[in-house]
Amino acid sequence: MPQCPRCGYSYDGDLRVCPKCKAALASSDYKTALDSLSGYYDPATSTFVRNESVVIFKGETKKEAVRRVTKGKIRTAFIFGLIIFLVFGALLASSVTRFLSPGSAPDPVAYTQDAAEGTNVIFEADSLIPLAEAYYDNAPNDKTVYCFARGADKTYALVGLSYEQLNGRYRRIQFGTDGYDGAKPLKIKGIVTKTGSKELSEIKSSMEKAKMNFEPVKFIKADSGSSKALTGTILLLLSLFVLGLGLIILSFGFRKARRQAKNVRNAFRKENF
Amino acid sequence: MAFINIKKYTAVGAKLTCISPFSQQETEAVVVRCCSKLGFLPSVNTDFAIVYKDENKPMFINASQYRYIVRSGSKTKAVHEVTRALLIETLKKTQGGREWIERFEFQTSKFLNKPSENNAALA
Repeated sequence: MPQCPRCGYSYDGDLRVCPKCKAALASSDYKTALDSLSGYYDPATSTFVRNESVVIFKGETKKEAVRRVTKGKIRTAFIFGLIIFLVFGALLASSVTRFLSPGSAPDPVAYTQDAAEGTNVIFEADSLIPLAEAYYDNAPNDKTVYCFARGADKTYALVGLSYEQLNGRYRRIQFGTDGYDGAKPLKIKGIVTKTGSKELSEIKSSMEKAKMNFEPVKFIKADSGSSKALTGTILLLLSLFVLGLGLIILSFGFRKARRQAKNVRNAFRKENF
Repeated sequence: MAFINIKKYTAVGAKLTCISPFSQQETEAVVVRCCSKLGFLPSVNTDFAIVYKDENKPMFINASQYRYIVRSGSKTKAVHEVTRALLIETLKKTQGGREWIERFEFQTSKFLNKPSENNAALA
């Protein structure tokens, strides 16, 4: 009488699975094995689809067969997942560092007329006058617009702001009148900068239109203020994107392994291998 | 499916004559790369296969085997080698598997050693 190769259980008849230890009593035949290597063409999705046949070897239990079939896929998925999580962690850490970094600049001080070049200052302006209305209107987004700023204590400063910083803070007015339309003083943070030749020529051309003769030695170059937050946000979004994409691809890998495991379990249950 | 009429998402590679592992007969075959797209995602599943004309069936191979065939000088020989390796790996422990492998090896050596007509295939 034939015996189970694993537990020695004697049986007669055409059993495929040992009733005692649940091991396979015979291997699959070569036709099943050839089937497992092949498939068919699916015109609906224009892809080749693998057959769902599984090969079981004599003496193998269901658990061992599942492990044999899925081992490589699970290992690949884990390695890929590890790489994705490392990349995600690096991006998240750099994003958090960017948000929390105090910045290299010292705390700004209140602006005075004799503030030295390179000082970080803060100037509270209750009115802002662009040097030339036409110049302001036509300024491209990345251009510096020069304005006279008047402080609450009636001090004046020349301020260089970007178009975006000006946008929404002005109403259209005629040149020479107050242009700032805010309920509260406008806090301008920036660095006291020496007026270079390029800035000077731009300021002078505006002055000529106003028939003024003014050559400022220094002006306040306003901070954009948003670069740190913007970079941090971009890094955070990038890290979330990497995480999402990685999880999607991982789930496809695990789904494939689960499907193959299900085929093996079905083969054992129906004793069809 | 019309043989070698696979247009979407596939790259059709070497076309050759070889011994089919399914029928053990001489037949035409083509090496293909098939990518399955899933909705808006790019191809996450790339399958490589040798498609045999006689039974219109693909035999799936992995990426390194595909690269071996593509880079080899004699595609016919490379396809036979890859097929033999796959058969040994899968059929070795199955019922009737060893005999099938021996028959395939016999047919392959007869085909590859055929004089003059197959010199072009071996080139």
